[in-house]
Amino acid sequence: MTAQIINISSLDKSKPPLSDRVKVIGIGNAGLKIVEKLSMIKEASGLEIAGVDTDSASIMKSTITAKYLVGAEWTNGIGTGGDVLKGESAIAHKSNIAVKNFISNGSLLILVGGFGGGTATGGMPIIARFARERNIPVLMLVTLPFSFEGHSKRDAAEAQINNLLRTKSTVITIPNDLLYCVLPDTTPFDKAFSMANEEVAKAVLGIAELLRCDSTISVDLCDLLNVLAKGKTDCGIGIGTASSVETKDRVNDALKNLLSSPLLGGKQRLKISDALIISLTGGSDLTIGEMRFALDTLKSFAGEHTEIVVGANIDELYEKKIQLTVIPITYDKSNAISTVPIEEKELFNIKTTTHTAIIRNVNKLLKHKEEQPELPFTTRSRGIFTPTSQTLYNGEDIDIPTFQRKEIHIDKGR
Amino acid sequence: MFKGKTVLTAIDIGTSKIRVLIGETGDREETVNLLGFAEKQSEGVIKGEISDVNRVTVILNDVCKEAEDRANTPINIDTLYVGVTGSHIASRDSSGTVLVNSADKKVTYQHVEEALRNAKSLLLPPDCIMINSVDGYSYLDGTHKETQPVGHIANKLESHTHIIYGNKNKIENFQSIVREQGFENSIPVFNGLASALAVTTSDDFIHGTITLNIGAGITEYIVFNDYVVRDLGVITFGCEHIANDLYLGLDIHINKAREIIREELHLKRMSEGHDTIDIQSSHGVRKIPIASIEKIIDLRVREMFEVVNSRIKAKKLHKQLRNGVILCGGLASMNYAQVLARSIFEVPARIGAPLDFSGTDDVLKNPGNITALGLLRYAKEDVKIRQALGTANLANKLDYGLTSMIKKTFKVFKK
Repeated sequence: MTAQIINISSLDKSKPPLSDRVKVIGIGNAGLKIVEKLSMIKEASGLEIAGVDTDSASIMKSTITAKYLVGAEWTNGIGTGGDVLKGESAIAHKSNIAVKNFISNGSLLILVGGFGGGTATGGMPIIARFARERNIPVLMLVTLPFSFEGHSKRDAAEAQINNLLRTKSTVITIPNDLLYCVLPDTTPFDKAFSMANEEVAKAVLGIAELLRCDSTISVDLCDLLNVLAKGKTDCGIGIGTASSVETKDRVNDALKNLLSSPLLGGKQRLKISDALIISLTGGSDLTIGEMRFALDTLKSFAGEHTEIVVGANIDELYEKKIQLTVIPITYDKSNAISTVPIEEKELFNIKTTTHTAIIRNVNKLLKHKEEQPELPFTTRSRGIFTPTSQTLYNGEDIDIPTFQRKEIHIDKGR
Repeated sequence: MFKGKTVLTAIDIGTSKIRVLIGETGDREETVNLLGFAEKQSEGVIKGEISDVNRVTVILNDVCKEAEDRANTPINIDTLYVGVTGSHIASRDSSGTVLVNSADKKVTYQHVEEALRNAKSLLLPPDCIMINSVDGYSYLDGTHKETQPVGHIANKLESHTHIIYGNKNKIENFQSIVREQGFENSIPVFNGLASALAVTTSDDFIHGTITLNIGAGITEYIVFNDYVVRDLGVITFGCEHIANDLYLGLDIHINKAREIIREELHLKRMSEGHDTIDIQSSHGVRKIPIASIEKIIDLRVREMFEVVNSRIKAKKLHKQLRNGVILCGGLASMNYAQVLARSIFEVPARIGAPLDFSGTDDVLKNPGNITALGLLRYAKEDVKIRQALGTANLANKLDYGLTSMIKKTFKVFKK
């Protein structure tokens, strides 16, 4: 207790506040495209954006200024071909010095990429480690491959996310399949992808806004970390923007845009989420009535068991505009953390599309998996007392550490 | 033989340290003057018992020489006391009866001695040997309870005593190591008894107290109440267990874990306003949360106290500790232990402070030295009895001296 109090009073003054330097790195092909979209958004001028890839062709095509080709000697500049180990080694290769330099003076690092391939899947944890070594908090925004891309990609992505969660990383995962839920079947293929990329780019911005702007009602990194740290999650993201130049009722329009946001998963998704992170950003002309209406409406969409974290910010870049960011979070039910009753799942019968097979796919994605929960594997060790005879008390070997016998988790630090 | 000043020597072979303490006392002095003290890192002692005899012998040789140099006087081979401990040590109550046949029916000192000798002749488990005995009260004619029966009129005298015994070979292990140094006859004393003698007042003996000596590898406790030893015991855990917990729980080196406990590094860091401890490792500085360290220490120390508490509760002694808990040994230097002891035993707790010694603060203020100091206290009383009885003959000493010793000690403490 005292430790915390002392800590607050003696916060490291030399460290810049989080809002100072938010850095975004897009990793891999998908990551590059997302940060490219991001760099085109006017409001994103406060962020420092870079792209990292192992494929020289995709680097060449990219329009962003700070782009780094890494591990070219390793991969001959032709990418990793979906090999996760190759991606790992490529990023860990000594040519990553430029990436390290880019990270080094940041105060928050957001990593973006599409999992399932080689570069992002293998490289993202490595770059996250660079940041952690420099004491910079890291947030990872990851898209999961489409289900038609096959099992192997999906498995690689899932395995890596499990690895990341084990190291207490903060990962926001957005399944690409969510795109089907909202877009009509007649949407052109390339438009769907570019929309998805744009949405993820906006999501990055939305998250950055959560943390960067001068918060009136504050949501900070800790709120987000707290919610995400509870277990393996399945997230969506919805952004709704509207400007008073174009429309009269900008709040209503922003809400509409938000709900039709392709990666949100529709209104029903909000209802079955375990947690909602809601952020409202506006210019200095944002009124209290608008704020109340927007947040109240969003709250009414949430289920009764949903944990809600609300924030509101004012930023000069959003003059005459209003932006709503919502991150619905669903915990992986196999970890048995969620409290959502099973019947509520039935609400997720999305009416916006008639393609039932796809609905089944999405339902499968979010479905309660009734598996036998894994018991936590704890190793018991006698340490320096290994060669000595046991000391038994009440049938317990007292030489084994007390916390191991009582199965209490100890934070080893980092 | 003991005219004038007597040089006394205490040898404490512990799990973490081997200590030799040389003191001096006079005929009519109450205090023991400390002359020389030496200690060295121990090796070859696990959980209080000697595992590598040769290693201990070599270290003890160095320590003895250093202590002699510091004291500027040689060790007196007749007054050498070695602390013994180990999980094999146990105790039991015993009583012996004698008929008072003299014409005036007055109980004399000889009657008491004889009754106690009868009490002491009980059958011990095989391979066991008596280490010490602590005299209690006597019954006159089977009805009147007296702590000082000498001078009363009675037909029959029944004396009670508490006998501390242990495995013969394991105790001789301690003595044989001392013998290797050229000191033929060392007198074994149970460490728990010694540390209690160093820190308890006569008031504690009467009103009930538990002396808890938590060393590096082993814990001894002894409960006194109403002039009698109610219970004592040895449990094989100690500060090394806390270090082992930190070592396994935080993935740090065992020596670093020991350092954290010894120096209370986490509290120092906390008072400087940090909430982590920085530890150098192969890939940069590791930051370990102080909360984790506190959690591990709390869980372990709490458990150690609870084990002792459940043992004395089983004998219904927990209501008899009106003077509370006295903490000795390495753990006592940990500030947190005192607070925790108070909450678990639900009685006042204090850190043992040696009584009636004169010497330098760095020896007296370290709770780890209490056992060695207690051995000197025992030595002083033992020598006093040997003088009184005039039996410098070591063969008779065990028969006479030790049985009556504690009663004399009470007299001293009562003043």
